[in-house]
Amino acid sequence: MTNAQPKPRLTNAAREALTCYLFLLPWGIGFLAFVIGPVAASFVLGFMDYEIVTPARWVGLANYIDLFTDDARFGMSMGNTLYYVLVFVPLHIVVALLLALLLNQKARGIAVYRTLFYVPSIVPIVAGAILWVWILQPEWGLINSTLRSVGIEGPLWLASLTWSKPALILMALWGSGAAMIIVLAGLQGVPQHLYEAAEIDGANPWQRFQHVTIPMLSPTLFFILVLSVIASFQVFTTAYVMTGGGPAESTLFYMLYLYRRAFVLLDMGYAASMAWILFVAVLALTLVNFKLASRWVYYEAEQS
Amino acid sequence: MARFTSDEKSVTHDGVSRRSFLKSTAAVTGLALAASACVPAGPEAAGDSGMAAPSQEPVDIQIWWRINPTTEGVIQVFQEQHPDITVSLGDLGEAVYGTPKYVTAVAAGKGPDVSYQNRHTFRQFASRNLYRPIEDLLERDNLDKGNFMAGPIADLTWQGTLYGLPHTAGTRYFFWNRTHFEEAGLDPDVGPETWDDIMEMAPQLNKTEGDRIVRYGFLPHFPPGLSDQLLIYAMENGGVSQSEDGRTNMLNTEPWVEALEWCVNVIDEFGGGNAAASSFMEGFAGQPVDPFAQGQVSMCSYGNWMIGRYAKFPDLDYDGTGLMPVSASQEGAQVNWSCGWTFVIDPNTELVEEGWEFLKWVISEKYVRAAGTVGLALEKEEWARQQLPGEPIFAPTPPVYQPAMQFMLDEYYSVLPERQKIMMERYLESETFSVGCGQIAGLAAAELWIGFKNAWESALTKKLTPREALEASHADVQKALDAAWENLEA
Repeated sequence: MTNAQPKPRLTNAAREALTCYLFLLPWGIGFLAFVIGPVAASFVLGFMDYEIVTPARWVGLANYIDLFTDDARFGMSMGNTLYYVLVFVPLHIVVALLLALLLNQKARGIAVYRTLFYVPSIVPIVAGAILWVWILQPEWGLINSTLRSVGIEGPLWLASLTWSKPALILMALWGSGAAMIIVLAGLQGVPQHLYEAAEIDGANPWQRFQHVTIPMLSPTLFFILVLSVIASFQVFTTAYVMTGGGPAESTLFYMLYLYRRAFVLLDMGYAASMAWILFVAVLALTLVNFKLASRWVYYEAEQS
Repeated sequence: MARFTSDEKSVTHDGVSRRSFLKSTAAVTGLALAASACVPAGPEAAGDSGMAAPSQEPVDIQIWWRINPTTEGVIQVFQEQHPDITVSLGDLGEAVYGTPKYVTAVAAGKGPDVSYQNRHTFRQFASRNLYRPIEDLLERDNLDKGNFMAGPIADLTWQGTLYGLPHTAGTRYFFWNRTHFEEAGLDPDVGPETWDDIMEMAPQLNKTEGDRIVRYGFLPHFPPGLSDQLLIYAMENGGVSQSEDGRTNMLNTEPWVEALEWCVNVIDEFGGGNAAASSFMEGFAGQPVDPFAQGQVSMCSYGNWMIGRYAKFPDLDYDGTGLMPVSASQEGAQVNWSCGWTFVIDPNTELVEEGWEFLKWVISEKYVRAAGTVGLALEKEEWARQQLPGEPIFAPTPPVYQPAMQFMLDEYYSVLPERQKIMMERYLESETFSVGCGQIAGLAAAELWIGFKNAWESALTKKLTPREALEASHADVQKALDAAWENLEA
């Protein structure tokens, strides 16, 4: 006689999987409702005339055609944004690298310096922006006062057509601490024996930096490059707070213009089409970055 | 104590297996989610127990206003006087040149029952049904439109229907520093009446140290940070912003071009050029004091609300008028524009009666009394904090409803020092001939205010000539205006 037990309907593995999916479900619902849903809706809205408070009206490609043929601000805001990306991203990487090299030294109290350089990146962006409005104030701001003390008349910064974008870039560079920390982690991961081998081979400090540090850091730098490019295309808060897009729209960046179309002018369909153009542009640029990465990014694991 | 049993492949802790723990947690989470989905929230929830089904519980209405000690204080008074209504006060956010928070909330069906709104963009939003029409309520309660200032009522009327009750009003106001006038040998009792007067007085009032201007006789881009200065100068030169039918924007017409040219010229001639003047003005952007209050500008075009605020500067001996200096071609004309704040009811709210009760209260003398009591107490505190001499000079924001205004006059304006009293009278006079900003801005209001700013900055920075700058702004606004009419008619 055997004690035949009823066979469970679900195996342990199936139960585990079910439990797992049950726990994932709230996130899944949220992701669908708050990410995928709005993304899909914005794609459809891009083909509509939608003023938020009135019913949407299908206009086909009209928004996209308008953007490319009848909207000078589209080109101008994209131009302003490209300027920002092209100037800020390289400077950001260089500043982060230089700071990391500096803070990678074995010096007394180095942890304090690392913290000090990192702190600006955790300052809330609006607070930082207001602080920098004061620093950049032409009459009595910190920068121009310092320049004046050595006989240099500083520019109008945020009130100048020429200097408004560099001023915002300068402010953004102040927050390079986060990238600096990543590079610093990368630097500390470079095996010491590579430096020793290079030194035995007669490499001087510059050669060691060029042929050991940079290649070994290249995945880190690539990571920062990709993130910085994406973030720079979306620059918004500093311009919104510090200049409102002025003077004379010299800091009207793409996202600021998109925001204005959506929430000031209530042109949500048009803004949605702008969002998709930006998405495609950033995606394309990111893919190009990945494509080019094989030429300069060194992955040790791939070599072995 | 945790133990691992390989046959069941489960971890137990004090007798509770991991699987049981996961199951029960999942169940609780699921129940909580389901329960939270069933809980009614927001205005709809309150609406269920609103006027349609009377209840003993007070009805809660949501009001988006400004959150500050004065509004909190008056809301307290309102609730005491209306025990059947409680108020949840929220902040409106940015609302002068657009009102994104309110617009998106209404579009989502989650707008506040009552909201504060600026009149800069009122008609644009009224035409898109963002506000509940209130003609029926007005008629039912015999509230006479004739008891309000005419300009604000016109601002809030779209195609013959009123969409809100005006709360406060204000006009541009021209101030001058009497001490500076006396120093320059000018009559301190008489301000400039024309642009020619300004051109004559400004250089006499300018003060330099070396090649640096330390005091400006007059700067057109005043106050710092505002973006609609161009409007008043264009009006002083006979400019109108749009055609009578509201379909054609007029920014590119001669009065506007001449006005902008005049402003650029004044800055170049008496302000040391835009770089110096902008540098000077930028120093005051976002600060609680302005260069007129500091005695660094002798004449400025600002707003009537500064009559009381400038009184906090004991060294500032000032005077002013609501009659703006005009160009030669407009000599003798009375020119000004008015603006202010308004209360509206959400078009979707079910708490119309409670919202309307608040609207009627907030325009009345009851509100003025409450706001005055709270405001005066705060003013006294401020006066004491700053150790200012004498009694506080308290000039609260003028209401639009005449009975409330009468109360304001009797209670607060009548006890002002003589000069401030006269200035207030001049302001009230200016309200009678001012054009409301709602009428000025029309259906493409948001684009128009941006257009003013763009033209102004482009011309002052010499990026474009005044004509080119205004042509560019005109094109933008006209495009938006055409689209607005097209949508409306569609």
